[in-house]
Amino acid sequence: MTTRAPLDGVRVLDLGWTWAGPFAGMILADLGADVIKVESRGRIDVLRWSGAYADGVRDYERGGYHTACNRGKRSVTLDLKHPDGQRLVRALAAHCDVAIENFTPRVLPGLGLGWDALSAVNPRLVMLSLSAYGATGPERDFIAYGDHLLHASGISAAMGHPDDPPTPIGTFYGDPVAGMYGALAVLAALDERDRTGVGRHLEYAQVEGLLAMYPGTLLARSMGGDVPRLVDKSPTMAPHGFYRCAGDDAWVAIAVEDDVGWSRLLAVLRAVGIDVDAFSSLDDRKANEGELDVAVTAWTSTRSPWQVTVACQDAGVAAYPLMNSPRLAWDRHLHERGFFEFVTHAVQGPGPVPGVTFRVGDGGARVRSAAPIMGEHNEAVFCGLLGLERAEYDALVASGAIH
Amino acid sequence: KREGGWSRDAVAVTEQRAFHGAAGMRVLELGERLGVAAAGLALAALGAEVAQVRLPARRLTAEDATYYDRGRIVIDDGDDVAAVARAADVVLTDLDDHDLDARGVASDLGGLRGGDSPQVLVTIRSLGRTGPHAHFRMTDLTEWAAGGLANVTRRPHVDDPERYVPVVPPGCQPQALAGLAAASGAFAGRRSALAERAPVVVDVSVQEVVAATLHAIFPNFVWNGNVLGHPSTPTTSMGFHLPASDGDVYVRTVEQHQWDSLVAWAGSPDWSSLGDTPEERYANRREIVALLSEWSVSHARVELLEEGQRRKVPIALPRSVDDVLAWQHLRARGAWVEVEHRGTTGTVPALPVFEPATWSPTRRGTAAETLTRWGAP
Repeated sequence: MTTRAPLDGVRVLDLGWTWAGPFAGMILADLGADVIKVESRGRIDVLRWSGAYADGVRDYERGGYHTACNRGKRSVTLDLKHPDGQRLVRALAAHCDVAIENFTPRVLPGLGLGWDALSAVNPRLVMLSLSAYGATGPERDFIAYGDHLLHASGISAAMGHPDDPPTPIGTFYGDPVAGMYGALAVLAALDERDRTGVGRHLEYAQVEGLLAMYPGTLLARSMGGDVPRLVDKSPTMAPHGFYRCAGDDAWVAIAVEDDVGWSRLLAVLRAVGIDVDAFSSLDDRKANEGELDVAVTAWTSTRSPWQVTVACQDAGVAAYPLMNSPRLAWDRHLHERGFFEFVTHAVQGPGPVPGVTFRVGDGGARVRSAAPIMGEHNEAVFCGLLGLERAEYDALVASGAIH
Repeated sequence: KREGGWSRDAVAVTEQRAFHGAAGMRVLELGERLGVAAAGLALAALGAEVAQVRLPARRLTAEDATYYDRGRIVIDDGDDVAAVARAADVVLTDLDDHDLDARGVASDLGGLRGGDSPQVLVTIRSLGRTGPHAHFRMTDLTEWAAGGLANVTRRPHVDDPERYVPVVPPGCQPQALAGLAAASGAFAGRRSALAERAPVVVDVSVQEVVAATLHAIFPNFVWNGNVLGHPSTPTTSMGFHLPASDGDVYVRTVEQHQWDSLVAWAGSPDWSSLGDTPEERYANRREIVALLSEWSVSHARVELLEEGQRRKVPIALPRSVDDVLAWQHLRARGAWVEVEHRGTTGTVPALPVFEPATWSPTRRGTAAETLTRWGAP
């Protein structure tokens, strides 16, 4: 029996754009919430303009980010600078449990849509604000995207090679981290609201979320410790890293956790004729890490990542291929778990999207539908949910408030 | 406690009334790795009572343990863990079925408290609870490789195969992400369990938590055949570093008006038509960065930051860890807290959104004491 969706009956007003806010909304939609994404035709969400594009056609209904991140949501289009557009947002807030936004802190209050205004029409509302630098502090109004924040947070400076410039994680990492923190905070606030009857404003700074992803490094440095840039090495394991395999840009990750693990890998290496000193202690192995890496590479470079992985796993050594897109797309393990889910988009047709961040029972969390086309649900939301008469709806369309 | 002299300003303090979203939730934390500790920390911060079994094979650095182990009641592994599991609303674990069974904790919750009890079992496993590779031995490194982000996170030497090596980020990113998912899963699972009056299992796969962020990387392959991260696949990021007189700044314009503002700021040079459209900016990116660098290098970093932001150009200062610790903006926000570590005081980031004003001190307890306090299930 399918598990009941955790957020069945919860409605979310998704005022977010780009990636952080919509990512939080995506998690809530996967959990069964009715997520209404408010969009503007005058300033189209940059996520819709972020490639790759389905079939290679540059079109705001075909952007990959939008397709993946806004799945399972409804879309309405409003002009938030129009007084009637603002009125409709406040009316929607009165019908919602949650509002999400990720603008700089001045934007929504300037439109009459800040926490004070929305909570006035709905005291039970939970509002999530995911700005880059937070609602307070001297840089509160600075704009930034996830990659800016990787550099600002010190993460890029703490990774890579000492001779390299700051080396960021290869995605706009601050956004999904914000989305995951935000979804967690919303879930907690909904439980609290259900007990107390009172909503809450959740104020999050994306840069602070990134700090909380590497607290041990910050603590060590605050006490004068070194923060070495280790590329792919570990202070407590050797061999440890990414090793080249046979094939085009093929790699495997191997991590020998302790002396026992090393004895196992050593047996694997010697069984294929690769001679290397025993180096029975971690100190020995760290002191001779370069030599070890040469020996391991001599083995891996003539085998595929999966051949190396299976040999290591059979021996009890942690290993896994470096997964790129095709490896993920054709991965038997992920397919058997049903990770990639297929949806049929109104413009793009059928296609896969990355799956849910976690599973709840049997299907309690799942991708529920494709991403909406822009304004697809205007009538259903404004006439159905808000109960506008047809003539009033038409007038709002004619005035440009709904567009 | 707040670091001396640093506090949130009045507006934030007003809005930060005590956040007890998990009040009344009784949690057993039974894990060896950082993900379970991260989930336990979040739930403890939100007001849950979290009993943590301190397992001998725990794999946290001393610094991470100081950060993540706050607000817990610690019970011994040899104590009556099964009884605490039966009394808990949520069991958080990364142990496999064998190790759970050895402690009398049913791996599917079926035998914990009876079939219709609304308990939640949240498991964090590298590759999830099911699938042909679920039993694989994994570490932070191999989880990073498995999730797909490592492939696009490399040393910046795409033209030199010897140096175009995947790199690992600081901290334990896959586990930290999994911890956030698991804490969310505790709330989500509890809602379903209470609605159905039945136990619910939440399955967190560390690989999938990472892969769930591939919103551009995966469609690029599906639709265009591009394998981001491969040396032959050009990066699609238009971010770049510009030299300043005292370091550098990072710039990426996303919207057209941001690019137009940057060009106007640079004096609308005669080369600016090189970047009239995103496609042209991408095609001409090396030349554009070289030309912009000639302009930016005569300005100081802070000058570029402040004037750029005033002009709505997305621009940031790349910061070292030391820079971050000294950053006035974060200090003004009260973004740090002091912790005792190795007999002295260090600084850790406050938990976003739900850092409590005070933590109950982590202390040792027993299963019997915990059961008495929690009451009968």
